[in-house]
Amino acid sequence: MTPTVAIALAYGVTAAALLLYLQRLRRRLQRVEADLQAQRRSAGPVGTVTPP
Amino acid sequence: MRLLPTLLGGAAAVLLAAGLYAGLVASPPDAFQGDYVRIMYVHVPSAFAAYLAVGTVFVTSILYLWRGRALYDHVAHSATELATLFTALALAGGMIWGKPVWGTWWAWDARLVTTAMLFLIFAAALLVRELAEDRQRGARLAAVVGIIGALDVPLIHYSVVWFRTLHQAPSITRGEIKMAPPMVAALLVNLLAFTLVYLYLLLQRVRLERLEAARSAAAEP
Repeated sequence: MTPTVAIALAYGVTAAALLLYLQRLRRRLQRVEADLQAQRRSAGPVGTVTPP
Repeated sequence: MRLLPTLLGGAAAVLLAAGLYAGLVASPPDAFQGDYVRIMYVHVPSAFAAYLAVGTVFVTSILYLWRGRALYDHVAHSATELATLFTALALAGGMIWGKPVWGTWWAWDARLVTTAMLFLIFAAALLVRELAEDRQRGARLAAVVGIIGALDVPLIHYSVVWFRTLHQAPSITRGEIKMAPPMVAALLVNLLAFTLVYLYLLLQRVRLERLEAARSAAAEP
């Protein structure tokens, strides 16, 4: 393995792993934020309960 | 609250770019290894970030077992995932360097084996958490496995001193630096960059953990 190939492989694997992890993290964050917003919407506005 | 991750992410990106330049352009080739030494600038910082993550797991796991606060578990879980990731990267970088320099991808060497053990222990910590039926029981089991895994770090670090290994001894020790100044500078920039990457990922991962907990709590009847 030539130095160029080995260096490209080491740096490429590291960059790809970190970027994939970051991308996965961001997707999960977006999904959970969307879920929480949906939960809040379905719960309705606070303080509008009709008195008996 | 959002300012800190943004600043950390920005600083990490700038330092990573500087680290790339320092490692690939500014630093000289090694007298014996030639250009293969440049792999060190991602391999060593990956291992360092793994150590930081393991340290975080160790402290927060003890705190969780002692105090039982959910925040400690959130940090421990997040850091366990990052410890697994960075240990895998350190192993991968080492193997890619080992093939041309040692002539083999893998050797049953004390440093390599203890590092592989660390990876397996932290993967096991993630697994026991997922497999446990009760969430709190899973968190406690993962904390115990994480603490056991952290005890492997001194073994990894001193393996090159205590055992006769293929892996070279530390080049930077207290009072002695066996590297050229441009190499030390490139390594330090990359160490700092990976430290910031680790902190940025940890903050984001803990935020995810907290939001997921809030979602689960809101979904419960």
